Amino acid sequence: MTPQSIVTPSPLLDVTNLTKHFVLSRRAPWAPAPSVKAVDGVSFALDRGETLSLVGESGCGKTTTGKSVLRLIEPSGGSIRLDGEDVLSLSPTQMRRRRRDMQIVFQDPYASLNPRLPAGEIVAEPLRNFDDPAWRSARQREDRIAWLFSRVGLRPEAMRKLPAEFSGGQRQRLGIARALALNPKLIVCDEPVSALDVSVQAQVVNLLMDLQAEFGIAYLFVAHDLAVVRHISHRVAVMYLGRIVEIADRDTLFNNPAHPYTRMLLSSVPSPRPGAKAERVLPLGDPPSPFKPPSGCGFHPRCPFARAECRETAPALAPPAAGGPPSHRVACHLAA
Amino acid sequence: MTTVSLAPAAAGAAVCTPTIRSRMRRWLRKHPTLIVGAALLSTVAALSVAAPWIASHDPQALDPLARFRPPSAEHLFGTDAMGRDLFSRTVWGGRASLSVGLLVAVLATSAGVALGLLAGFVRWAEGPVMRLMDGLMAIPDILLAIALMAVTRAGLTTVVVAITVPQVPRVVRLVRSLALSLRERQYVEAAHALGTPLPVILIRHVLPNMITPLIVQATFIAATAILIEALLSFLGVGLPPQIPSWGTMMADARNFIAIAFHAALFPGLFLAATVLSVNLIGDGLRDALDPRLARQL
Repeated sequence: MTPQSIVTPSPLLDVTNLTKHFVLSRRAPWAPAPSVKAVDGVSFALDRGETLSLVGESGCGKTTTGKSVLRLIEPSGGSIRLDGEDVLSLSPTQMRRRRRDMQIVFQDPYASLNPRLPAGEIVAEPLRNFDDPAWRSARQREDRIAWLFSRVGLRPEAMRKLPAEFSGGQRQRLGIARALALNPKLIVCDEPVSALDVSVQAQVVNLLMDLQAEFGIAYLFVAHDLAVVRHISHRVAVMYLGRIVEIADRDTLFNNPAHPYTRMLLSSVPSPRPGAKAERVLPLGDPPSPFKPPSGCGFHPRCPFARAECRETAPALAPPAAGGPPSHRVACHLAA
Repeated sequence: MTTVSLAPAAAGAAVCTPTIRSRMRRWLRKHPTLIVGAALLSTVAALSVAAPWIASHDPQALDPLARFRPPSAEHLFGTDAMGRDLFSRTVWGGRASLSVGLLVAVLATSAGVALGLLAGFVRWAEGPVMRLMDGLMAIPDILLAIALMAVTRAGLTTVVVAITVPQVPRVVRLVRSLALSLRERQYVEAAHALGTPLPVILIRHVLPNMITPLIVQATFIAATAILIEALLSFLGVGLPPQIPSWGTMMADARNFIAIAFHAALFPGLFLAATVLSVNLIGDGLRDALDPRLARQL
């Protein structure tokens, strides 16, 4: 038998053709309601214990994608399968139970913690929501919270403190402890370090990586900081105007980017070597209005290599003609 | 000097208690309206609570031989057209006013919170609830209260309900607008993501963060309720005659105002003082608890 015929294990998370259209109120009774296609047909898969990063500039739909996967934003279409189960068909009660496996760490560690609850209570909240023999009694819960605190690098004595008494990095550790409390299979990290100081960023990113190694958690890592993404990711997806324009394993994407937009993103990262010859490729003009996305390839108005077909037909996500690893996909007429 | 070489522990203890006390004193000095209002209200409340013991006469006892007596040692506030002791009636009337104010504030706030949270967090409920509230608000609250009294039998319960219903929409609107902003807070979204059931989210994350404006609103509702109760009783559609009420007393005194001015004066003064004190407390609480709102007004 050939290796191909072996049934490949299904991925932990399988997102197909995810869309989210925000419908705005109509300007006049006869005019059609304007809508923004924040996420417009995004597909990807995420394996157990893997980190997939979603990168792109502000407004490209990466956060909407992350929150749609958890149904914190209700998607307009597509399918989301977690462990083979269709998440979008679950009733609100079933969905609430399913949340045990899928957690989130928010961007802003100041806004995501209730300022009136002590730290221990914040981490206890998920434990109260889900019954489990491991934390049924108050005593067991307290032990688990203390363990979670020490696991994310907080002193268990800090349980009684209020969020305001913690620093930004410590608050984000608190948010991670809360997400970790239920032993989830997937954590969506919504720009978890972009609100933190650079020195603290590294600590938090390393903590996330340690936890992944220890518990086999999969991360959907939404970020715009490419240095962080390069450090933490196994695979990277680049988004532009609500679509994935390129997806590949980390080294392929950073070393052999195929999409012009990816190349521009990468060239915008400052080089750590002073005096290094910077080859900056800049996109032309400003990002287009999401109300009126360009025809054809969304990137063509800003692409220095755009041809006639780029204006007419949207390119499909396909392996690049130049070859490379089979997981590499790019949506560009020039690269295909 | 003697204070220089205090032991650290003693110094800590000595510093700690006065700090809290002096901070409270400073806080109170910053909010004089609160103190004046509280002092005035506690006087009226103390008189009302103590009514059974301090009333010199039975508030309902008629004495046809002692009609229209001016204030004296026997009758502190004088007597009315039927010879009833006005001091006793006034302190007993305070019980009616204050209980109506308190009950309406509690009931209107509770009903308003429940409906407001429903409108703010349950998508399908928002339209029906808010349109119903708009409808209620379109009718002047006094007219609505009179209309409700017209279809029921006079009694403390019906008066309280009739005054409560027109006040509910105010609370609903306030709670809904607070709920709409709290709903978007990230810690509420986080609670959803953690699988917290909606009722728990409302009690743990939403309600505690709207309690301050609710207390202020409840105070103003209490003041309005006391006024409307007096007005309903004055018009004869409020409390039944067997319950002494400042409104009833003023209505009784109205026909004889030229010969017995005092019969209307004392219940009127008490009513004004009570409503003023509750409003002062409301203003003071608003300034003290919500400095941002205070600066806007």
